[in-house]
Amino acid sequence: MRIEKLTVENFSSFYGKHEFEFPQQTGKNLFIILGGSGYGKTSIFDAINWALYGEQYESTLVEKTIIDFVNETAFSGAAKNNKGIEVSSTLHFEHNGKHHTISQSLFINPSREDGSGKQISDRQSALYEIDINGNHKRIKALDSFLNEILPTNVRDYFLFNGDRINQLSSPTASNEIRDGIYRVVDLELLQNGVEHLQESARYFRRLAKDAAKGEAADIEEQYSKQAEEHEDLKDQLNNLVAEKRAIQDRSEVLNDKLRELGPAIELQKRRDSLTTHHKLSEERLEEIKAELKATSAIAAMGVSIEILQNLEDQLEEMRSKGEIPSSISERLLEDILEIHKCICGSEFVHGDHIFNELTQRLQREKEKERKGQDLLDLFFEVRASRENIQDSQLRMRQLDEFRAKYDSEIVEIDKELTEILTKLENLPDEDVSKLANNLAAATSELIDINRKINLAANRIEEKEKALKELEIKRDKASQSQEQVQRYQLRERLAQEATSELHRIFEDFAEDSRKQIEQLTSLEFTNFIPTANALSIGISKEFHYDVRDQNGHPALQQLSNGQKQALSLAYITSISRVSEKDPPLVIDMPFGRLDEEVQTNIAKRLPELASQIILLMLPGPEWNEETAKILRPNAAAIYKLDFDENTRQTTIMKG
Amino acid sequence: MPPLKSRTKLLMLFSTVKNDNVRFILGEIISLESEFRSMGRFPQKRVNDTVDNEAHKIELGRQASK
Repeated sequence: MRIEKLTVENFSSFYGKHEFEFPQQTGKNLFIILGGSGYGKTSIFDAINWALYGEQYESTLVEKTIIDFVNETAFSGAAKNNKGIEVSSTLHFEHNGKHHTISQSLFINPSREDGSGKQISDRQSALYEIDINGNHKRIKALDSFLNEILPTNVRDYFLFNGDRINQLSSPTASNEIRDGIYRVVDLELLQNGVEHLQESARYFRRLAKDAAKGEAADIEEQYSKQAEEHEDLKDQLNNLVAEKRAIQDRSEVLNDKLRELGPAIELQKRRDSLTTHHKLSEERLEEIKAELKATSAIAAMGVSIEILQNLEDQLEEMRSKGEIPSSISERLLEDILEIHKCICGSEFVHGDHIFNELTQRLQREKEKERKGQDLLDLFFEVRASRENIQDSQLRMRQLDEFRAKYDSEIVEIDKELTEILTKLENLPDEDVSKLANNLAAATSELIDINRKINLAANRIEEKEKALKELEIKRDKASQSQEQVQRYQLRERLAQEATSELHRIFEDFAEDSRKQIEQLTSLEFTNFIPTANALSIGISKEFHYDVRDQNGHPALQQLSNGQKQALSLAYITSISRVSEKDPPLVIDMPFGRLDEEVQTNIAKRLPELASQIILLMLPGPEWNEETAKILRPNAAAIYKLDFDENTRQTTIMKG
Repeated sequence: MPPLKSRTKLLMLFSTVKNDNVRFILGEIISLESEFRSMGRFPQKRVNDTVDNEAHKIELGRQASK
């Protein structure tokens, strides 16, 4: 199939009729349509899909309906005159040397008197074969024809966008990968054949049971029951295997997230430890500052140390001379007054002049002692003050050192914390413990499902044994019942055909998987030559299986761009093994790819299909580098221009 | 790498089916599946008829050999 022309009329922002021609040109198989966001690129993608698949495509539209594609200018102009418009998309294509057109048309009328609403008054789908003289011959079996060239269920592998590439690069894509392989290489056809043959076996088994009489009827009844149970168990097993695959996919996503969070977990731990350390350091620093403040007042008296030292020295000298304190005379006078006998030997009595003289002298001595005691106290105080000032000065020096240490420590912590927080901002914000719990739950489900799978497999084995035994009894019991035997023969024939087709299906599926795996691996290496140490595979469970040179799983080591390159390698492999050779129509092919991957894919694109239509965004996708690579292979380049005032798109050939 | 020749491969796999009647049934089934692919309704009766026809051939063969 090769697209020759697309004609759109009143479709989306295309007012009136517009055409894109895709002429065949030797050595040039790319057609590039360039347009900014909202200029109508995706509308062209929609128009091609709609022309081919009509209402089937409409049913896949998300958050819009086909009515949303009606050109507003055309409609409002017609509605003013209470008239309707035709909206259409026609694809001209060549297939097996014959030219065809396929088109979808809608006739839209105003639904309200004021012309504001829209309603579909009619719709037409038509497929024509055009002969050499330009005569159109209508092909009525439109669906059958499309099934031959590009069935709707494989459309996604030939007409796709950047989101689809991204979608197929996720760990949950295994079902999609399996479906893709099944559909594109006709495995679905074989699978359906198996189901229809099984249904036939059931049909003849029912007839045999209804026709049987006597013992044969009992045995047919038992056989039917066992056969049904056998089928149910097989279905159960298939469901369990599918369930297991879904759990594995879920675990893979959780593992993926946890792996991504690995660095975050470490960073979070370090952040928490640093935050605690920071808090303690700040508290300690505050204490040091308070102590410094208090100590500095005393230490500031350092200038008085010399004076205090002099005073202390003088007091020390007086003390050493016994001038302070001197209590000897005082104690002697007290003793004399006590014994009433003078040192000269004279005795005296209370109140005489000796007594009075001695009492007065004692009083004088006591006065003198008080002064000495005060000086002694002053001596100790002076000494203590001097020592206090000196200690404070020493402590100040220590505290200054501590403050400097904590200050620099806090600066370092702040610096590391800022770096960690910047890194954390760029990492996904996930609840690690919740993820870990979910992973544990998935693992436990997996254990449970494996147990159920083993159980179902054992029961199937038992059932098959029972069926074999019943087969023998069945033959004997129905020997004289010809009609029953006839149905039994048909049932066995259908069963045998089912088994054979199932075997063929499995061989064919494995063979197809290997072919797609080989092509995907080859194409991935072409897209990412630097990743040539990796081995790329598609496992028997239809997972991407990426291994490093030591054979360890390495899918998670791929960057997002590399994962998307893998997905694109897979999609294009699928399209190539299909042998249908349809064109590839890709809307924003490089939308989510990094520059290096873009360049490598751009180099390979012309090799991926015999005709490729690319709808690209100037700048991020169509830039100096990609244009340099793609332009030499481009048979035509169209540029879309969009008028904001009239909201209409015009096409320019570049 | 040459593309997968799916039809050739299928034919090769079909040739491994030893029972001629079963092989014929499978050929008919694949043809039916292709014809009615993506259609809403599948003609199950035609599968049953195919099986019936082949069984009938077996019966005729058995009678002839008696």
